Amino acid sequence: MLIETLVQMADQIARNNAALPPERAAARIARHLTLFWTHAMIDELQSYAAGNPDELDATVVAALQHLGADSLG
Amino acid sequence: MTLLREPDHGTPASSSEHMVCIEVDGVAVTVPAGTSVMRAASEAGLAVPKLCATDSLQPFGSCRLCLVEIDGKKGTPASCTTPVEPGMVVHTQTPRVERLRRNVMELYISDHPLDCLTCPANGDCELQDMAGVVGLREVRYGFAGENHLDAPTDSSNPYFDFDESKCIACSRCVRACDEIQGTLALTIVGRGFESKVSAGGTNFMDSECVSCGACVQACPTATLSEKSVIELGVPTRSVLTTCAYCGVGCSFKAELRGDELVRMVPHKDGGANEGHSCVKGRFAWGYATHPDRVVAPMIRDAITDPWQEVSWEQAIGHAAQRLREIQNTHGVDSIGGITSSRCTNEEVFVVQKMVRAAFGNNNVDTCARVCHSPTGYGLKQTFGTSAGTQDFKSVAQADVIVVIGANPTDAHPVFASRMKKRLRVGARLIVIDPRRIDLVRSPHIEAEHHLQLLPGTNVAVVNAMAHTIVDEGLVDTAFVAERCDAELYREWEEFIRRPENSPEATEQFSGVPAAEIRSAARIYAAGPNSAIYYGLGVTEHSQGSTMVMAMANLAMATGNIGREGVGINPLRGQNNVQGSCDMGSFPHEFTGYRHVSDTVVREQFESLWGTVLQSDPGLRIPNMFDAAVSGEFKALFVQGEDVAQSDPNIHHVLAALESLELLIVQDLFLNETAKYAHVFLPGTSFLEKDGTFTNAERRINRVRPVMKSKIGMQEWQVACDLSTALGYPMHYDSAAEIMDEIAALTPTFSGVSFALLDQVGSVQWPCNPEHPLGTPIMHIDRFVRGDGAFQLTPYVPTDERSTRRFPLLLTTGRILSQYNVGAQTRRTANVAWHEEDVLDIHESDAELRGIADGSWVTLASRVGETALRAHISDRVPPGVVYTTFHYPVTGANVVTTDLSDWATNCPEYKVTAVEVSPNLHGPAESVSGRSDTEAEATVSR
Repeated sequence: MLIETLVQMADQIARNNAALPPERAAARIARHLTLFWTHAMIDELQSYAAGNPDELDATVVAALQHLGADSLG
Repeated sequence: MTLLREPDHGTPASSSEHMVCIEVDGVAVTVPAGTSVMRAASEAGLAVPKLCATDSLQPFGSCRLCLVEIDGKKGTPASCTTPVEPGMVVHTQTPRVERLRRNVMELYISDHPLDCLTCPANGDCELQDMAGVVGLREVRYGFAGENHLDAPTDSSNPYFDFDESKCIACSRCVRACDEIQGTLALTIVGRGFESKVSAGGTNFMDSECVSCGACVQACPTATLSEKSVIELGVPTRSVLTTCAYCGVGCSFKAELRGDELVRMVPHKDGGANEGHSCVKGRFAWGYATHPDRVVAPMIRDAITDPWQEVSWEQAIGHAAQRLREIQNTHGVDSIGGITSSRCTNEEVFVVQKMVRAAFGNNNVDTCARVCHSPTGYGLKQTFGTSAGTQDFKSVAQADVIVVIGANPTDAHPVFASRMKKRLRVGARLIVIDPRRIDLVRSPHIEAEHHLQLLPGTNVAVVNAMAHTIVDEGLVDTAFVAERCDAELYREWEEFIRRPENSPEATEQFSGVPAAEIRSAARIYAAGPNSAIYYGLGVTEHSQGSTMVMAMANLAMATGNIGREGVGINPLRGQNNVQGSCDMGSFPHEFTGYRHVSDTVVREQFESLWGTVLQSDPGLRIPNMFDAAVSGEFKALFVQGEDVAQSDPNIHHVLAALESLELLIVQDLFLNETAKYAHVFLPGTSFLEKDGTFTNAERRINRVRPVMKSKIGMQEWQVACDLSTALGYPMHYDSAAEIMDEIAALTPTFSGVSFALLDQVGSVQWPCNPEHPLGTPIMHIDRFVRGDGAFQLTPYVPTDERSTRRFPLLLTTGRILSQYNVGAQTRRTANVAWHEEDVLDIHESDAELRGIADGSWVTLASRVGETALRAHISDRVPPGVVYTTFHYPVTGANVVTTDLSDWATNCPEYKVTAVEVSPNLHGPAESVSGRSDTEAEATVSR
């Protein structure tokens, strides 16, 4: 899938969880991705985040770290 | 079944718990206080003659046929208007009343055509029956006097005639329009001999009549008759089934003459509709036999090739071979399927099973994705289950009704009639909608507040209502303490108190005055029974899920959940939206909303299905399209959905469909999507189906075959055959057997079987050993999830903003006579009311652009443009335009964007920044890449 689409989707999830404290927001985003995204979509976003962490909402980056710090390299 | 004639006790049942004993013709009868003498006698099997009385209407006492004698009372009172009293002794058959009844009947017949043998209602006429019952043998007055026998017939309505010469002025039609439908389109004009029924001084077609059919059903003579009865004759047998239009799920008696369907009559015992109907369910079923139906399978190598008609074996074999070839080349996850909310639970179940077990992945989604997926998400997060909380009857106990982003009188008309009935007796109404929908002000109904918010600001407005409730100390603290998670409540209270959630802050961008929001919040909190009803104006936003949770927060904070008259009630768009979701159509859930990663649940399915299932979620519909465009997704099976017309940003959808190596479409017609298909598998209409639909109140209703399948089999057999051809054998002997499998795998359906439904009519899930006859009201003592979970619902403005280039906001919806993409209703006489989509635009916006009423305009957004006629209307405020999406030639979704709900990817149909400009060329030159596709489909066949 287009990475732009995945980034937009992830950032939108982050904006809608922004009322939570950052750590809980990250945990909730991570859970949301696990529950509703395919592995391939998460993998693509993780790969992108590894090289472009500044292009994503900080809580999304934290959420992806929750999901698997190893794959972020 | 022979023709089902439901008993008519003459007057409505009393709900009193106090019982009264009387004697009727020597028979002791015990009935609830408030029951009429007529009904008491009827319930004891002692029918009193009647004409103006019917038990769907309040007693009227005009026909004077139901006179009785009562010991100790003077005269001969009308039994319909006389309530029972303890110890009353009633005589329904005495020489005196028998003589009076004959005299009354003599007067009726002296001014009635004596053409019974050629009358279309012969054998189905209460006047004819009563003439026999009272023993009328002669008419002493003759027939030469002044009469109405030459009165004209109004044939203007496409579905029924009004033959005034046969009218007995009993007012049943007028009262049905008032009391049942609530439109008040009919009246009696004139006095005495000149009295006659009038559709407001004009013919039915030009009147305010909404063609619900209530008057036709109520008429005791042939005055109001279906044209189909006039043409085909009185029906002789009935099949009980369920309507396939909106999510109300009305029960109907399909009445046939031999094998020919003559009419659909709403079933009085139908739990959802209780004998009422709308113009679609009652009359617009002709599409089932429309010549456009495709009943033979077809294949082609390329979408530019002509279709080739083939045998079922060839079509299934070809589809299976191509699917496997594609998976071998591109991977197991490169294919998927979409289930349809128009199909039965059983049909949906087998398609999702085919995807999970035979395709070997979880790439299955349903068209509920694009309508009510946020309902599932939001209600599961807050209450613990993905469904509305009430039955429809519950609205009769509501003191405050809040309608948000829904237009029930057009989209859910039969439920709207229930709602209007409650509003007419005094329930308070709050409407939250950018448009002035009919409910805002209609006969005897006026909203106390119409919060006419700017599209996209739902969450801000409901948050502001919640802020008011917390700020002004209106929280039901006892309910919250007893029923809700304390820590989550505390966190929510802190959040909602923030200044940015105040009505005063919200007013700046929502356009709703703070004082109005505060007042509406106070009314909602005061109840005592406050109910929220909502539609796609809530869900089809980038914050659709947040909004559902915000409404749930509001209900919990005020204790408006868990009893009659309250609740959070989604008005589902299609007949089986609830069911298609229940049946495991979402890519992350099995039946009953259990996640695919739940090992215990998955193993149950694996054990019964004898195969290994994936534990990861699959692709949602928008993900499938995105993946198709980027070349990762190659084949799609689409069951009964026209994604090329109904889904947003059509250009993107078409790009996705064009990039597929294999598109399989199963449908009644060669729809827009079929233009991009390589395999077309015919489907069945609801009149051919055997199965169940589940409506918006979780009611599981039987759908029974009225006519033989035009494709020679049940639709679920097609998916079974395709699955079998793919190497995963799937076989059922009947739809009942599929439901048995659903029940075996789904705790909320464990008590459901066709045998139970045939016995009790319908049940609302959960239906299990704890609730063997179902669950009308949910969350009574505790929430499904345990404690109610308040959720933080920050308002996040949509990315779709009005700009200098696109300064207006477009919102879309339905009209009464048409249904969704119009595939069904456009193939009926309903086009008489709506032959094209138009653009509602406020006078000031029109004037600014030099647009005249009825002129062609170009509607353009950043993703596309289309053309349609302008309709200058004050229903929309300045800055907002509105249209429907019933016609492919208009293609309203050419302009909607692919922005979507953050949690579910439900498209944001309800907010699109657009510009409207005069169009001097008409539609042909300006509709981007679209044309009259039905004509093309015909040619391509």
